[in-house]
Amino acid sequence: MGEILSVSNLIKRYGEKTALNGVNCRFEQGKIYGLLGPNAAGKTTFLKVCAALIMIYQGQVLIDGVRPGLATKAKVAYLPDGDYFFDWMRVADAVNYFSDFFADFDRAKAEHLLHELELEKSSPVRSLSKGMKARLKLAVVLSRRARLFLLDEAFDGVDPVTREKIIDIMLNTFDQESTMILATHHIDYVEGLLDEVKLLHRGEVIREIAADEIRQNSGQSIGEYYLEVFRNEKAT
Amino acid sequence: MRYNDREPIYQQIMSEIKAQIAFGKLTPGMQLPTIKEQAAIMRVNPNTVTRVYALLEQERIITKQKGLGTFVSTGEHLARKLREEIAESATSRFVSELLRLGFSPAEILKHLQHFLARAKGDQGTC
Amino acid sequence: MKKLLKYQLIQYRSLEMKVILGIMPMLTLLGWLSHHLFGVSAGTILQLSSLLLFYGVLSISASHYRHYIPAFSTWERLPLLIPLPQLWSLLSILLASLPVWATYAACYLALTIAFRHQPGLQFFDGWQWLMLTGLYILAQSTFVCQLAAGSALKDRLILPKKLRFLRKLAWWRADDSSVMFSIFWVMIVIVPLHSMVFTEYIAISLSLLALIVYASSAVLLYSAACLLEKYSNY
Repeated sequence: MGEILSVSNLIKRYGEKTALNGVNCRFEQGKIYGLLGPNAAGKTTFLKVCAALIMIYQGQVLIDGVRPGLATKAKVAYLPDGDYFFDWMRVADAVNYFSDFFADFDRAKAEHLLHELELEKSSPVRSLSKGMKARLKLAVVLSRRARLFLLDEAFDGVDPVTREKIIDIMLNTFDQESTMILATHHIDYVEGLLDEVKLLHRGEVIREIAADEIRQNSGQSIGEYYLEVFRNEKAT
Repeated sequence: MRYNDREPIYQQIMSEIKAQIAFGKLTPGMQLPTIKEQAAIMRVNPNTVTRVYALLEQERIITKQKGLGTFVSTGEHLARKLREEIAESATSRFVSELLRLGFSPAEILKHLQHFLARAKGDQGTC
Repeated sequence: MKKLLKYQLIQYRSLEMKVILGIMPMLTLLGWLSHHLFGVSAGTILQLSSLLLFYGVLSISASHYRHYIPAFSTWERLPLLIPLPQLWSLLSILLASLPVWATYAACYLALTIAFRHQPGLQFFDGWQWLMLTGLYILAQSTFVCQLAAGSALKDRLILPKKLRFLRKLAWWRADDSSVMFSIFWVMIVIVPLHSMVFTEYIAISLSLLALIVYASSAVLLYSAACLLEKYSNY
C-alpha cells in the first residue's frame, strides 16, 4: 500500500488567525480515513489545501508526490461543505459538466446514482431542497473514479434513509486504488466505515489511530474515544 | 448486523460468520460473498472484510480458490468444532463474570440448572 | 475550450439575461425618441448612449466574473476544481460575453443609421470599432485581475481599524458589495479612452493606442489566470 497524501508542517494563516498550525500526517492508499474534530478545528481548510483551492500556505503537501495544482485536480474529488453548482444549472447540466471536465467520471454510475437518490434530471439546482442538493453533490462526486476523495461533511442536511444509501454508495465506490478522507462531526454515522481516525484540534493533528485499535485497547467506540480525547483537551 | 462498541468490528464479523457455519446457515463448500459484497451486506469498510477473510483463512475455516472465489472449508467436523468453540467461549465468559462477582462454582451450577429447567418447562407449555 | 464555452453560453438561456439584453434596444429607442421629441442633439445622444450602453455591458459581464471567482461568492467552486488552466476559463468567459458586446454594437449601429442624415456627426470607422472592442476587453481584464488579486490578498493585508474603510476603495481588489465600485474604477480609465475614440484630438495614433489597449488586456488576463492558478486563497 503506497502513500497517497503526505503533509509536513502545514501552516495556514488568515491574517491574525491561524487555521492550520503545523499539521503532520500521512494517508495511505486503499483506506477510509476519518478527519474528526470540532468546528473551526481546521478540517475544511485542510481539505481545501489538498483540493488545491488554497494555494498559499507554508509547509509541504504532496499528492502522489506532486504538489496540489493542475495535475492533482484530475485525480482528486472534492465535496465541499456548502453549495457547489452554478445556479443556472439543472441536474443534467451538473452531470454533463462533470462528465465533460473529469476524465475519470463514470456516467453510467452517475445515472444509476441519480435514480437511487431520487433526483430528476430536469430539476433546476436552484429549486432543490437542502437535502436534495446534498444528494446531487454526492452523486456527481462519487461517480468519479478518483484517487483521492475529500468529503467535507458529506452527511449534513441528509435524512437517515438517504444517509444509509450514501454509506452504501461510498462502500461501493471505494476500492484499493483510492483513498477517502471523511471530515465530519457525525462520528456515529461512520463508525463502521473508518479504517483510521485522525483527530484535529486547533489546527493540529492530536491523535492518529486505527479504528480497530480504539476498540481493542479500550473497548470504546470511535465516538466515545473522541469525547474522551476532547474532554481532556478542554481540561488542559 | 448491529455492532457493539466494545469489540473491534472485524472480530464481531468473524464471530458472526463462525456462528453461521456452526449452525448450518453456511455449509461446507458453500461460496461466500466477495469482499465487496460482504462489505455491502455488513455495511462495513471493505478493508475490514479483507482482514476477516484473511484471518478466517489462516484458521482454515474458509479457503480462497484463485479465480473461483472464497468458500467454506470442507472439513467434515468444521461445524461441530465451531459450535464447541462458540459454546466454550460463551460459557467461559458467563462463568468468569459470575466468579468475578463472587458466586461460587456450586452456586453457578445450581442457577444454571434452574434456568435450564425453567426454559425446558416453558418450552413444554408453549 | 469548446466545452468551457458551452457552459458559459448556457447562461444566455436564463430569463434574466434575456431581459437585460432586451433593455439595451429599449434604451436605444429612448435615445432616438429623445432626439425627435425633445430635440436633444444627435451627437450628445450618440456619445451618451455609447457610454451608458458600455457601462451596461460591463456590469453584465462583471457580474459573470463575480460569480465565477469563488472568493467573492459562496457558490461555484467548480471552475477552480476542474483540471484545466485558468487562462482557458477566463478566455471562455470573455468569448462568451461577446454576444453582449454585439448587442451593444448593434444598438449603437442602429442609432448611427437613424441619425445618418444629421450634419457633422462622426460615425465610427473600422479602427474605432476595434478600439471600442479593445476597451471592452480591457475593462473586463482589469476587473478580473482585481478579483483575482483580491482573492490572493484576502486576509493577508491587515489594515489598522481606522483605515479599514479604505478596503472599499481599494483599486486592486473587488468584493461582493463593491462590485459596482470596482467597475467605477475601471470606468475612470475607460471613459477618457472612450472619449478619445470619439474625438480627433489625440496625440498618438489610434492604431498605437489600440495596440496598447489589447496588449494590456492580454497582460492583465494572463496575470489574473496566474493569480487564480498559483495563488488562490479561498
